[in-house]
Amino acid sequence: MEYYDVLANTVGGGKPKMRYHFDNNGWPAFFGGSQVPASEEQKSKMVDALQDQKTEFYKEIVESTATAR
Amino acid sequence: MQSLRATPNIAGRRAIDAAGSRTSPSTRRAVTRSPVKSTAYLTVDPDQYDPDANSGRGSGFVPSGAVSSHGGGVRPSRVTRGADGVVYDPDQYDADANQRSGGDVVPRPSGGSARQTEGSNTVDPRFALLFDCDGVIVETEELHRKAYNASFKHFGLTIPASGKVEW
Repeated sequence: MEYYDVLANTVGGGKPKMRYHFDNNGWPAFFGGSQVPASEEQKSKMVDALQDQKTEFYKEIVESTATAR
Repeated sequence: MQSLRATPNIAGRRAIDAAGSRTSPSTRRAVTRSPVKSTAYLTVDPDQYDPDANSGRGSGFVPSGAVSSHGGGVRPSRVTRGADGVVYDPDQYDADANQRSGGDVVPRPSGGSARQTEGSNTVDPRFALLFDCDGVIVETEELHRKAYNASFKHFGLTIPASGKVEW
């Protein structure tokens, strides 16, 4: 939670957040594999896929749990 | 081709035929019907009280503003018809608009809604614009964090040097 606070206040936007994190901690592989994205195109595809899936989860979470202050 | 002048109007012709059917040809004469001026379709009954229009169910009837001296139509109504012809009822309670995302329905406020618009210059209380910045109405940061982690888990993200990705 504390790390995300830093991230939220450091980098604007979901995709830049992921790029920032991966650039500083290493790029990950899908499904525990060893193939990490090497080219810029591969990195963009990974980030796009992660963001699209994140959006789907976010919509579910908002509809199921979000309440007005 | 007949001229318009030579052609009796349809009502007149039908009157002649009707008269002819009841009288002999020798006594047949033209009978024209006098136009009947009627404003019945413009009649507004000030005594009419439409419970639908005044309970917010929107039948469309709007009292003309006349106050009856016969006991009807005296109940005050806040229903008005806008310049665009749309009937506005500020007392209307729209259950759909008051349903929360979780399924709960906000109950109709008690004490009458007249107080709710005091001090407001809203022309049409049925509609409103909400201006919101992320995090004002709903605290969303934690929800975003959970969604990111769910996505990372969904794809089984693993950083070779440090393991699973979790924010």
